[in-house]
Amino acid sequence: MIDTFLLVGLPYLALVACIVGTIQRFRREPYNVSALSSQFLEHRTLKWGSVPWHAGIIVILLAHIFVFLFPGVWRAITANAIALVAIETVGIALAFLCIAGMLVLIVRRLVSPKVQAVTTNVDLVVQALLLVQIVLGLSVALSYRWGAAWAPGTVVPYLWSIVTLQPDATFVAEMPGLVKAHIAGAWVIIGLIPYSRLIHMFTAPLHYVMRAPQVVVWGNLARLGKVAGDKLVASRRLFITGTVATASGVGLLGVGVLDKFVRYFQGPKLTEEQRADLLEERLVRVKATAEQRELELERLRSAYIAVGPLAQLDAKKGRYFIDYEMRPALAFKGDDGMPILISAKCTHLGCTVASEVNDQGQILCPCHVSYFDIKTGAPNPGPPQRRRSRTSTGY
Amino acid sequence: MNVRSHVAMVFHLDKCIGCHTCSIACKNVWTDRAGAEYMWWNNVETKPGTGYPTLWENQDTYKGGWKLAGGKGSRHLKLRCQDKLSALTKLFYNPNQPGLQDYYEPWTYTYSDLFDSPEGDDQPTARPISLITGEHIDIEAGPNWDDDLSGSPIYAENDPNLDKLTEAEREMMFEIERISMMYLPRICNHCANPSCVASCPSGALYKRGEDGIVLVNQEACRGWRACVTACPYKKIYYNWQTGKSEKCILCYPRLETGQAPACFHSCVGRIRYIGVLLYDADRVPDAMTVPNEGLVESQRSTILDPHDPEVVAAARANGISEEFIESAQQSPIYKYVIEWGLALPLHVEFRTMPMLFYVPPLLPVSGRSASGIYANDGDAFFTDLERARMPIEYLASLFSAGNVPIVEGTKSTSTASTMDRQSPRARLVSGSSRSHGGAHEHGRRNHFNRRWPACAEGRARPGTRGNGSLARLSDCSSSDGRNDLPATDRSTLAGGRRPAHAVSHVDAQRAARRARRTVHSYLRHLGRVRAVRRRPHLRRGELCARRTDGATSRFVRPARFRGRLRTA
Repeated sequence: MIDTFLLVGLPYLALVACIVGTIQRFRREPYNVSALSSQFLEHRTLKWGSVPWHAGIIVILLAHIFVFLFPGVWRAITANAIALVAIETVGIALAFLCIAGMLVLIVRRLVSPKVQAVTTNVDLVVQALLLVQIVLGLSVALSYRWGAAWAPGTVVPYLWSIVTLQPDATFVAEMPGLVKAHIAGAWVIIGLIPYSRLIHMFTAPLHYVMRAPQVVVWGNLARLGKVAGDKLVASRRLFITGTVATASGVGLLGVGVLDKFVRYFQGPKLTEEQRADLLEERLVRVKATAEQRELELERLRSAYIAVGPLAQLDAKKGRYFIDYEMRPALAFKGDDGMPILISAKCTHLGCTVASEVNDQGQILCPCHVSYFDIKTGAPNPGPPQRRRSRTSTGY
Repeated sequence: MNVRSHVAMVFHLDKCIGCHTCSIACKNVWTDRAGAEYMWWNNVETKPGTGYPTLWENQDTYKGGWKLAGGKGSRHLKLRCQDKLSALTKLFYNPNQPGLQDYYEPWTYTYSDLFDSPEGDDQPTARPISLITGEHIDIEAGPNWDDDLSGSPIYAENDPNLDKLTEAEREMMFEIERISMMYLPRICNHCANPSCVASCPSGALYKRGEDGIVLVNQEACRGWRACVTACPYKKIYYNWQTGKSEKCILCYPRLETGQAPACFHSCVGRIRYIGVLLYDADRVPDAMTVPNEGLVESQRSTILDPHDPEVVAAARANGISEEFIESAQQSPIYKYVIEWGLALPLHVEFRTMPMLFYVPPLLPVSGRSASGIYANDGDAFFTDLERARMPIEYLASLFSAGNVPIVEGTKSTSTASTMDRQSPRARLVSGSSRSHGGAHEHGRRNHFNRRWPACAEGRARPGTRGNGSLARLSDCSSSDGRNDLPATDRSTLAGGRRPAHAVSHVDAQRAARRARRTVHSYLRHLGRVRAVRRRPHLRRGELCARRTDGATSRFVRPARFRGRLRTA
């Protein structure tokens, strides 16, 4: 129950509060949208708080957003073990930077009387929340290793399920409490954005890089009338020409599309021979499906799958077969002469693994270069995080 | 040619008596609010001195204005404080932004202690308390801390403009018998090439096309504070309570409703002149890329002759109203800056092309004490430039980026015209001293008449906001028959005298509504008025306002508001 609230109810509450609140504030209270800098009142400690905090949090936030938007690209990057270690190390270092910065900011706000003059309760709440959130994130990174690698497969689908209005908390419901706390904390902060100074995030002046240095505004109606008047005549002509041209273009296009529609629903006119070919093609497909179904039925009815003669099994080269779940599997001869049966489906993205066993007794998944021990099914450190299930029955 | 009109000012420094009435007028109208206590959109400094904020002229620390970049042929301007990318990194902490310590901590006194203290042996005192924290403070600085302190080793000697003077000259300047000072009233220069506008990451700062007033859009300002650093005159202030920047608005709500700016209106010495200049906006950036010595001339070259038919035609084509063009043709500013060459921009080497101009003071030696007896200097009265008290290099450092001949030129013209005004005794001065004046006889006469006008009429000649619906300066309407301005009709915000090309009546009404809204939304932001709402039982246009800031408690409230005000 509490899980459902934290992982499904809270997110929607937060998102609605954030979106509605932000629109409200920008529309109705544009005068008070500001970063509310207190550098003017106190600048010495601010430097050691604001700069590290922002440097750290901006990179960390952008990385989070990137994983959310491009989980595939992120997976490809983190599949490389060196990149993964590098990313995690940088992330942890930045988290420490953020914590240091935020501690300075909090102390500054509590100690300096001038800064207190512009401090509200919400400011303190936000600061505390941010600090807790960073500490939570850092503990997740330290206690459940390689979060950069597992997040795209767990948290990202959860987030997308929220965003696409098909909430599915099962992706993260079984995760440790720390992770869930980090997720819930994020939702609380998102919900607070428009009601605190955090609103300044949405005013990041990136357009400054592109804009011309001088801004001149004419408020003169006469000028607007005069200068724009000439333009208006020209633009009226342009409007009429444009409308006519667009209308005829769209009309022509529409005729073409309609023609296709009509023909589609009429269906093609076929000759006897073509109809015969079509029927034959369908028959082949039906037969193939029937074969497949027979095979399935056999699997369900019989207790065993005939993999092959024991003598033909090899210790170094696996033999592919289809297991009960209609998935590829591999059979090897073990050291003790007994067969080893193991699923050939990679736990990472479901690729079929290769059949050759290397010197360490491992088989390779070629997709993202991960190795699995054929005896235990354990993966090496690499993208897949779950053990390969051993097919339990049948010899 | 991109002709724009600009409301410009001239300050005649010989007439400034340093009374600070302008500062107080401005304070009472605009910055008497929480968060703005320390702001002085208009302040008057004693020169030589360190000014407000302290040492604002020193751009090595404050990094205001533009600097020249690029080699010969590819010269261009760059902001001294930031480039496009570093601007983004400076959002979090701006190393060059002046802080409260560079201005002063605003304070008041515990006046109530004078009344409420228990009876005792000692007289109760009102101790100073900070207007920010409310705690007792020791006052260590103020907006005018070095007022009249010329010759002081802490303040006057640290004036950055003294760097250009030789050791001997400096010593001479501070010699007890020669100590002199001048007053420098400063408001926003409403520059034609403003570095504050260029620095604003949010694009909240803008220059109005029709009158050149530089404003901060309070709705778009996000408090990144880049402008505070970028303005070399330090005339943009950060409101620590609203988290937004504020600056002198040249009293545009007053200008638009036919009143002179508050500082102008209240000037006791009548040192201020206001009028319209036409200038070529296309040539501004290039004009500011010449070497320092040429900047004054270069700026003058961008200012256009309002009588030139070509200029007038181009101005009309650019949508400048007839009233502005007419104002420009009668502008006292054009006469001061171009015709007489008397008024110079302040610190033009910051390359922002300031559009406020100063007539450098003569500060003549009119007498001295010899062997204990004070006596007039006789024949040398008002004649000898070399004996003027303020070293010419010092004035050049202030007004012409170090170009001494330009300042000498203005001084000789001033001297000559001043002599005209002198008593018959001065008229007896030999012809040789007259020749100091460069201006020919007619120009000089004209100059004299213009420089000491009897009323505000001659001093003010701004245009209107251009749509024809806004009235002209009320100060200008006199009844002596010489008035060449149409009578002011304040009741005709909507309608009134409409120029030939005026837009429809509906448009005019809309403009008037917008003007009213601008003023009130601004006031509302300033915390003066909480809700601006029209009520049916009030007369049309009358507004019901509630004040919310605590400021009222310190002053007598207008009777009609009493009872309806909620004070903090």
